[in-house]
Amino acid sequence: MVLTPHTSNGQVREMEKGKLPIRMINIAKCYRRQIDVSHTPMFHQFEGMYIDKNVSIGHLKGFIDFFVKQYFGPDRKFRLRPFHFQFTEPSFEVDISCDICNGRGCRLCKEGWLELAGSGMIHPVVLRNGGVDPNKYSGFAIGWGIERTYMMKTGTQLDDIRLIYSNDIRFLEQF
Amino acid sequence: MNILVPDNWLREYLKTKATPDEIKEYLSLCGPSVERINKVSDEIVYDIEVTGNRPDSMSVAGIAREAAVILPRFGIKASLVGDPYQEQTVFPKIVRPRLKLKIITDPALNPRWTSVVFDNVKIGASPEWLKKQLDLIGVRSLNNVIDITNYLMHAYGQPAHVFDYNQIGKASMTLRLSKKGEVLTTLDGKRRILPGGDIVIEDGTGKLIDLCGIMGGENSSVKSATTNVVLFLQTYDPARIRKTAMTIALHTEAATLFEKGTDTELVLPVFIQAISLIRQLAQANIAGDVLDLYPRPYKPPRISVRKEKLSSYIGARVDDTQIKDILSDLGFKPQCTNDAVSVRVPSYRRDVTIDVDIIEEIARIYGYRHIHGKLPEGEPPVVIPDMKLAWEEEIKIRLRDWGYTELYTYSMISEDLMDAFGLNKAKAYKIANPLSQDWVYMRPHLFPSIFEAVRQNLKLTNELRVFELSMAYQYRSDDLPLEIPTLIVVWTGDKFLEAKGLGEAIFALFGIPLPQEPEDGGNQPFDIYGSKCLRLGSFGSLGELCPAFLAKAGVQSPLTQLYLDFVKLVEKANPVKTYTPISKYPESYEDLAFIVPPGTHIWPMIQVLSKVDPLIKHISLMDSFNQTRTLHIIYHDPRKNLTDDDIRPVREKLLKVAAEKFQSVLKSV
Repeated sequence: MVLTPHTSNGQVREMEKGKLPIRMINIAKCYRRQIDVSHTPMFHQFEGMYIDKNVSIGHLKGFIDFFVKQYFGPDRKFRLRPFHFQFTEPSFEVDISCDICNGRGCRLCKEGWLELAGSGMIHPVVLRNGGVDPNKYSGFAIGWGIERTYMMKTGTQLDDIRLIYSNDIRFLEQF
Repeated sequence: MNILVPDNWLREYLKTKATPDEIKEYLSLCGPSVERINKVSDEIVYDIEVTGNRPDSMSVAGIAREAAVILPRFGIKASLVGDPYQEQTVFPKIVRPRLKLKIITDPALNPRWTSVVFDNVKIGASPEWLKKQLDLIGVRSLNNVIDITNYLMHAYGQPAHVFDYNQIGKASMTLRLSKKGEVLTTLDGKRRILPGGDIVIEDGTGKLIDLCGIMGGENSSVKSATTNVVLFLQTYDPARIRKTAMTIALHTEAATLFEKGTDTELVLPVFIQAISLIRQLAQANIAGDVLDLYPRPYKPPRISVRKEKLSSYIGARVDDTQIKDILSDLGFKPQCTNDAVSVRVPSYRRDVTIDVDIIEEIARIYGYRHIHGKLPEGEPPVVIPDMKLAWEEEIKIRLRDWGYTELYTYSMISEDLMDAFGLNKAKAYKIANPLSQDWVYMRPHLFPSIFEAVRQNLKLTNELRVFELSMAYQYRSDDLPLEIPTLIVVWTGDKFLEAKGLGEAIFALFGIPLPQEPEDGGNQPFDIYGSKCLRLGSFGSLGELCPAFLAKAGVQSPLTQLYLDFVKLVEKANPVKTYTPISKYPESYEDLAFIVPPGTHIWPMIQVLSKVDPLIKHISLMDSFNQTRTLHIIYHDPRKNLTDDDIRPVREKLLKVAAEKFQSVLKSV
């Protein structure tokens, strides 16, 4: 038995329900053996998935753009970078401009960009495993880290993710 | 995996006028991510993240290859020079082979073996240029021959190894799998007991001299006194390398490359370069046969993708010229038909196996920045909401607005906490590799996490009103846990009345009548409370915690708790309010002050008195002072106006029951 490190396994569970098209959001606890300024051993991800006929990378971008504008504000920028996950092809990482240093570079971000999500077009093998025909359907999947997303919200000025789980009343009462 | 690439070294393979910032920006948008630009003794060094499926990019030449394809897409001229796959591979001639080396290998474990023996090797310091390059990437310079192997590995992503020929017993090398328990002392001086199934080399006396692909043996390593050297470049079965590296926890740069799968076609050009460098820098002579054992050369597969699928993924049509340009530049030798694009996969891109892999290659070079975002078209799906999620949000917002602070604790607790509360460790999930002693067990109940947080906060304040609605993980043998959402609210001090008030408010919110009959108190033992407590049917309980429990929690000051089974609440929730027609006949009311005996619980008394007569609509406690309880009685008859004659008998019944059942009499004025 493994404590789940990400919410991607939820994709297959949803596909197995057998109803198409799918527009899914799944929010759940994830666990990773890591703790530092931007990682905690327990955290939350939300997984977005859209499967239909002719789903494109454009739909993924549209989804991200909608979220970024609604949640962060009309001025924050995002970018897609090529990446690799076994369960998506093509794969991307989504970066958002860092609010703490305004793009200059600081201890939380990598040179002005903060990694916010992993995503990609669902791999045909995963679709098939979920009982979906990859010759008829395509889809995108994306997973955000919720705590980090929150920390990047304009004006929050939270610079250490461990604060969120400190349960220190002096922190809790500020929010 | 990350690789450090000095800018000056990169430009030995990449001819371009691009600035470091441009290289960083554009590579990251289309290929490997340049995470940082470091300055190391006045030189620029890129810190680049390469994904695990691209061992071909884990080298200076590999990054240069990517950059040569990507930069022109941003209008910057760039070309790849010194491409190992374009170099002439001319085998050096040997005059007379004087040092023999017997080789036995297994192509299933070792698809390509190249080796050569040198004599007259002058081991010494490396030249300054070589020391400097190694220094920039953080590799210690050891001697000229070993430095050459590290240099080439970094330049091309093809590891190389050297042995002291004289230490190889009977000049014989046999590559095989290890048996469990075989021993080898590696170059780092550690004596390793092998798990078995590891790729190793045994010499003619039966001793192990190499843990292949991971680290060489101490016994056969090249030292300053070495005069005869075996140069050795190879590839291995990636799965075996990975398994050994993980099992013995030894992750060298070579192992990191081999476990991803290196290109067999890369071995020979790097081997030739290594020979040349060793002759040059160590004045060595080739003393034996130059061997290349490669029984199954690479056959490039042809794979294809439908253009319709490509357009569907990109959301736009990419014209043939662009497709062909991109794929050719990447080394794929494309062919287009009306409907499809097919490619021959180059030996260094074995990660490309199916149609969507080709789509990724085209799309990333075409540029994700050129793809237009759009929202899904079509009918939105009809969704039946999960009531647990809706109620979770509702109750949390209400609690916040009622003045409580939400806690959010980790699902994992320490062994100490399990012991402090006397929880059964055999019926709990234990983490096999905890990161810290604080997070070892998945909590079978929510309360240890809460009380630990409370205990910590009591160092900072005396006043707490906190809650958490979160999962407890109930053990089921050989199965995933039953996750039980639990709501706990904790107050500092004796807040029994507040807890009861909150309980009543929550039940009113859910539209559930406050439970009357004491039943099984749910998941939590009831005897944690002191004298002031209340069961809430099978929904939970509330009360002031008893000293014994506080001692377990490590807390000195009094605490009050409300505990509720959230699933039960949601299950029985009935928020729809039913309308009762408003009567045209008014209510009558009066206040009755009773003297009650000490220890009387007023609520059960009110419950009983309310049922004494149907004309009694509602009784509530209006005032409480010493032993006097003033009850506000509302009388009502929906069919008519009430007169004193109607009320009097009811009042008398009330007084009778109060006296008989509760030894309570009216206070005389």
